[in-house]
Amino acid sequence: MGVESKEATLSREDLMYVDYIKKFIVDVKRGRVDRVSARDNTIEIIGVDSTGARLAVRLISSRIPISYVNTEVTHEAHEAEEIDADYVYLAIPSKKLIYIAKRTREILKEKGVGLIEVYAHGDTVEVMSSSLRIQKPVQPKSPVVERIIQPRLSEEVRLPANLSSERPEMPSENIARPSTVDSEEKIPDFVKDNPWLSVLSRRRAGGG
Amino acid sequence: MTVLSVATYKQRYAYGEDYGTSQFKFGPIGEKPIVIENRGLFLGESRTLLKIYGIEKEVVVGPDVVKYLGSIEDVSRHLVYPMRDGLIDKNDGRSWRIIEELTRYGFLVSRPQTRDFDGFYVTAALSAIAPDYMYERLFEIHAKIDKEERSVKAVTVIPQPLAVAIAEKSVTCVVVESGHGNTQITPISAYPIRNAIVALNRGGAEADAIAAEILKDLGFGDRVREEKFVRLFKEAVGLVPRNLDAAIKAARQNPERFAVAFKIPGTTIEVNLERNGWMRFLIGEVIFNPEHEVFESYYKRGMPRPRDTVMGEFVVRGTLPLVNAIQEALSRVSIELLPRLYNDIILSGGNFSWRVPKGLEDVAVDSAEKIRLGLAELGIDSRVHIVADPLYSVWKGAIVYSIALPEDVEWDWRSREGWYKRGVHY
Repeated sequence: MGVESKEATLSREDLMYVDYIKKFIVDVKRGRVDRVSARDNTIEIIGVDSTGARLAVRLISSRIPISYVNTEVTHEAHEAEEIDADYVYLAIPSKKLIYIAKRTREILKEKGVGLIEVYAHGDTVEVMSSSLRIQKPVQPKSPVVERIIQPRLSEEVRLPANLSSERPEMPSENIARPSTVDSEEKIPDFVKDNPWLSVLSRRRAGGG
Repeated sequence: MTVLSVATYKQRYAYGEDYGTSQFKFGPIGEKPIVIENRGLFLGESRTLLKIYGIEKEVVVGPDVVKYLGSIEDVSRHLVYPMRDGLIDKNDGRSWRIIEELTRYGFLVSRPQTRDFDGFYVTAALSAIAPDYMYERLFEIHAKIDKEERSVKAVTVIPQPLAVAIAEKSVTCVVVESGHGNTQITPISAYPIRNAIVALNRGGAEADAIAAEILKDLGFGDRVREEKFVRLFKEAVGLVPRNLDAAIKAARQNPERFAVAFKIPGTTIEVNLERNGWMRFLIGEVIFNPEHEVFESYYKRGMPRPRDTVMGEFVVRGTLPLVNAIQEALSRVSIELLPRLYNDIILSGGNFSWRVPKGLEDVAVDSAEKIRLGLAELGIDSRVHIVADPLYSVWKGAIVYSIALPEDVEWDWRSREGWYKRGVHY
């Protein structure tokens, strides 16, 4: 796996968030991370979940000014249509999330794009779940995006052993997977898109 | 027969229970719960007579209570409302017997007829200040019922404010729950922040008390013993002032604008406030600031002053203004969390359901605006809103909790979280 970037201008904070999102894919989605790439102010993490569905998570940079957050999220929600993945999420630092307007959230919902809140201390919360997408033909990427900056990542952020992006074991039967279970059954609205599904599914004995 | 995964099973057979002071709401996953009154009727001596008709019950709960009322001579002695302000005494055997019967009734009417059913994953919600023994008794009751009917695969208990936050889809927030007898302020950030919970010994009962005093002043002293009469009057005429002093001044300058006549439908009883329209604001204000000087004369003439709450080393004044109580709770929370908590204050409970009549918007406000204004006076920007579904939000939160909490998390008394499970605990 490598981190690809047009320009190596990622902040240390963004790289930290990338790690948290990778941990989210590995620990919460019980999947694996295949690739991390960066373009302008957007970082994209590509992987698969435990069922083999392809995930794409775009991080809204911590450097985006507050006044520009809604514009950026809306822009990315539209751009998401071009992403080659079954589930698309935008990840946003928690300190920016509170500036997202109701209408922006509605646009995300209309586009089937999920939203992940990333805290500076490492927690991630799936604020809105992503809907399974019917793929559109994907445009080939510009060669400039393909430049690999893996050495820079390893210099700046040491990945703890437990955040390894190696493929984890598949989830056992007794692990709650609320966002994927029995989608054919009628689920009430108050359950759908409820961020607590993600928060509570990570509870461990003893309040951990 | 298809064998379901644990997660699928848990979602299909998630079950919620909301033990409220006046109502018990229960049921499996769906759009809304079944609601019955939180009360039960002991048949007592009448059982001998009823046995002649083949009725063996000791306690009746649910809609059947009404059927038996006629057969009981002393209703007030036999009809038991088990909870007082969301709590039950440890040794109150009769009340616990009612809770057991209500819980059993819930499973009886909800039990699915599917072949794969082997018990519900039950989340019960109790008051945030419920002591450990209430948790223990609920576990015992569910274990007992499971032994009889195999209807509880696992059970857990959560505080009601956490359930409200879950139903509101808010992970970091402050839930202010105000019922008839008390008000609880619970900051939440993925978990309830237990050491920051502040409980006030006041609620709708204080608004009832001031409404009763007003009725006495208006010449209806003989009627105030009827709780329902007082409550109807309170709900019909009570207003929350934007600012009490300004509202009283406006009402005295222009009494016609605030005059109101309250009439009990189907009777000749009419209460006319005429030039005393300003009193309407006292009913709403007492919820938020019973420390205002205008209430002193009422305390002096016998209206009960809200009792102080002792919480460990802290004593919270019973009359502490609500915004100060919110501040008190949040003073025990990390400053990093404060902006997010002030940004999502959720008001829950019937005591916050105050309307603003058309044309009085300049002087009257709803509960959310009242608190937002109060915090703004203290220099705090906040976002305050009333829970979207006041009736069912606790039950909804309990259902989500049943679905989401992993099956392998076992009950832990320290964190007060996890499943109390068949095969492990009973």
